[in-house]
Amino acid sequence: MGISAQNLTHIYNYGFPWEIKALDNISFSVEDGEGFAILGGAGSGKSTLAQHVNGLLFPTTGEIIVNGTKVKPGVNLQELRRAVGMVFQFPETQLFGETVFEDVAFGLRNLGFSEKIVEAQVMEALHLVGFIPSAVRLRNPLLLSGGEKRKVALAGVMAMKNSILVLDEPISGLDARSKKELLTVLKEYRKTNKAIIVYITHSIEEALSICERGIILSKGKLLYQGDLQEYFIQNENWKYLNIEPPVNRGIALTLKEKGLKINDRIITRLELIKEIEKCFKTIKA
Amino acid sequence: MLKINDVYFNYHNDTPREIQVLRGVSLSLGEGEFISLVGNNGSGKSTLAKVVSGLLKPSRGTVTWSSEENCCLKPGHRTRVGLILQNPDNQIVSGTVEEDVAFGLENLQTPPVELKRKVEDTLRNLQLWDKKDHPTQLLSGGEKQKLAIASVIVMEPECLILDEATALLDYRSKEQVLETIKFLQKAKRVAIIQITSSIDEIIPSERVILLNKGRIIYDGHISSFLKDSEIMGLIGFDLPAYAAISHELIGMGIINEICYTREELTDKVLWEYQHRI
Amino acid sequence: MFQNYKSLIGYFLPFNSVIHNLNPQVKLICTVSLISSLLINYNLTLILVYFLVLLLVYRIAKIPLSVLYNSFKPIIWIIIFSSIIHLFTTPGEPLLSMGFLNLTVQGIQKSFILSSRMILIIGFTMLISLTTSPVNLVEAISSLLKPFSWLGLPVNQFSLMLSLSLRFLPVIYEEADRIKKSQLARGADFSSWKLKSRVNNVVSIIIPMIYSAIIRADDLAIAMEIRGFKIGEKRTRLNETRFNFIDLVIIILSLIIFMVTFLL
Repeated sequence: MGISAQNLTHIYNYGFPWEIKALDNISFSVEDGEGFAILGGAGSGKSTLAQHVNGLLFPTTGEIIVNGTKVKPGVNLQELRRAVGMVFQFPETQLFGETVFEDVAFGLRNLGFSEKIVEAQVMEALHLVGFIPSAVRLRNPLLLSGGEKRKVALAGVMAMKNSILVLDEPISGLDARSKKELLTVLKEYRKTNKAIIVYITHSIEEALSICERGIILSKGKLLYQGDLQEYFIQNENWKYLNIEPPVNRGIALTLKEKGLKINDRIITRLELIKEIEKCFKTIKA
Repeated sequence: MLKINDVYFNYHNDTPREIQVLRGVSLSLGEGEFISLVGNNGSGKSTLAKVVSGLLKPSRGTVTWSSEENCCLKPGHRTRVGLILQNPDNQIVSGTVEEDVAFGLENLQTPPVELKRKVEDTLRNLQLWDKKDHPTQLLSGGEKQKLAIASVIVMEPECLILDEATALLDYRSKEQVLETIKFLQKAKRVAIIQITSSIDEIIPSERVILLNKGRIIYDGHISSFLKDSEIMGLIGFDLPAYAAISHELIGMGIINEICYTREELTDKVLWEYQHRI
Repeated sequence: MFQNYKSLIGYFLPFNSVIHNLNPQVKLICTVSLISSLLINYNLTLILVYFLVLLLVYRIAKIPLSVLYNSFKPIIWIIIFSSIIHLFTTPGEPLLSMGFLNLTVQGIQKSFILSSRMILIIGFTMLISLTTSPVNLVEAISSLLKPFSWLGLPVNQFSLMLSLSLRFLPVIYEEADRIKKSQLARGADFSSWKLKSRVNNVVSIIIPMIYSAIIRADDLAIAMEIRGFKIGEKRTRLNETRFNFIDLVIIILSLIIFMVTFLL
């Protein structure tokens, strides 16, 4: 099962002089239950790739197989969308329900669940994203604050309990506290549903906080597949990727540049503090 | 340059549906200042921005520019303040970069020769000149926001207000916009008021104003703002990344001062290191 | 984003050619006069001449014929179908008769002329959108409408409206696309036959669209007001379009062609 793509190429406006190759020969695979990051800057093709996972776009050439089924025109899309949930960038723009409950229930009802299951799963999802379900269910989603809207939109997808969840920059534009909260929610979701998380982002630190493995895209081409932490520690190519520079490694590298003998193969804050401490201990010794 | 004296603002003023948004706000703003305006949702930040820019008339109190009183009532005043909103797509009026920058001056009936010169100067200053014939729709998010800034800067305002203007942008575009406003502040002495909910974005400003339920509850230098954990907690701010790291290093006795940028932090650590050898 | 822009607003191909650099007003007048001459008068020689002109102009504009071919794809069946009907239903000397269907000389002529006329009209209209940026096109339309302001019609407001819609069309299209996709991802089925779910699914796109349109309009109003815009107030213009020599020659030529076809 899982997701696997072979030589996936996507060309917009195929056959016209203004065609654009958005993805060029991408191959990767995601195992069940994995946290998988798609990392890249603006225009790298990461959002285009994400839309292939639940059949919103089809490959121009090559193939993508999700849960053992090849995603191509004519495939049973309802079934695919029962398995794959997708959260777009700024998902709060999709809200339309008269009440929070109605909005979150939209997906479940489309997929034909009984009202009893709908009720239970909506309340569970609202609870999961950090609301008191009974307090929020009858409120108008359009009148909530930005962060709350985002949570409702996430709940609207999570309520479907998909075994694969694709998220396109789900926490961008939020304040630090909401970011932290939502990342915890995602981890929780992944654990309880044993779900694959496909996490699209331009920030390595965000990617590492929830994914073990991933791919790096640049201008539609696959640059790297595997352990992301390894990639960022081993080389400095990320400087040319138009992605957010990793803060802690940046500090370590600058310290080294300025002449401190420090091990710069680190990525987390804890590692950085430890390495700095080590340097200072050598003086005392 | 600008004095706001005891300003109140109510939506639906003098009706049963009256909502008080600003309740006695007073502040003054000098030439070339860089201010961060922060506060929770519904604290009145955006309303204050609209009052300062003359889009809304205060229910009570005065907004004074240098000497003129309540000049927001006079036409022509609006060129004093440029207001940039969050979504770059919603603020661009024309199809090409040059046309869009010209829009404001066209409205002021600037003669074509002067208009052309001013548009060119502005585009060159903000490094948009090589894009002057570019369709606005095809610009990146950061470029669009830079264009929005250029389009008000061309009218030579004394003050630029950015209302969450970088919230929707990726990090590189954020840097682009920040560079632009820093340039305007330093080289053109334009006063900057940025409304933000991101702790990292307040770092480049000198002064922080915290608005809470329509009142100013903090107005002071950024360094004392960041030390005040009670105030920071009130609006849910964590320490910015570099400050948090330096906090931990202080706790371990490695450095003795909070740093806010990578340069500052690495210099400090290095200085301590060499000092102890 | 790029691709939507292209496929939505005509099909502007920003090459550098004589045709591209022509004054858009001239292009507009030429196209209109060519099309109206085709509608008024159609004889065989004229159509052949126009085909040659079409090919020549596309060549000058450096536009590959595949573009033309691709845009005919969706309507090719309409053309074929209508020519077949004309082929067999035009009264005249029968060349071949199958029951009540008669293939006539007049029929062949008429169906050839009619389908060529359709192809030519589309070809010339495509040409103007392929070689003129949407912005310039709107500008040209507004300036040609200018005389109507003497009649007291609000031409300036109309032009501003036209150019603002043009500005926001791709933005709104992109947004509609994104919202549609997010509802699809939540299992919405826009091809469902059940009326109730169909209505509900359409609502799931329309409400977010209206909501964001209101916010956009509000933002835009602020942005315009901040920049000193007032409805009905006089404005100066950065670029006034002017005619040059080539423009004049072409406009006279096309008017002559128009007159000649009219008299033929």
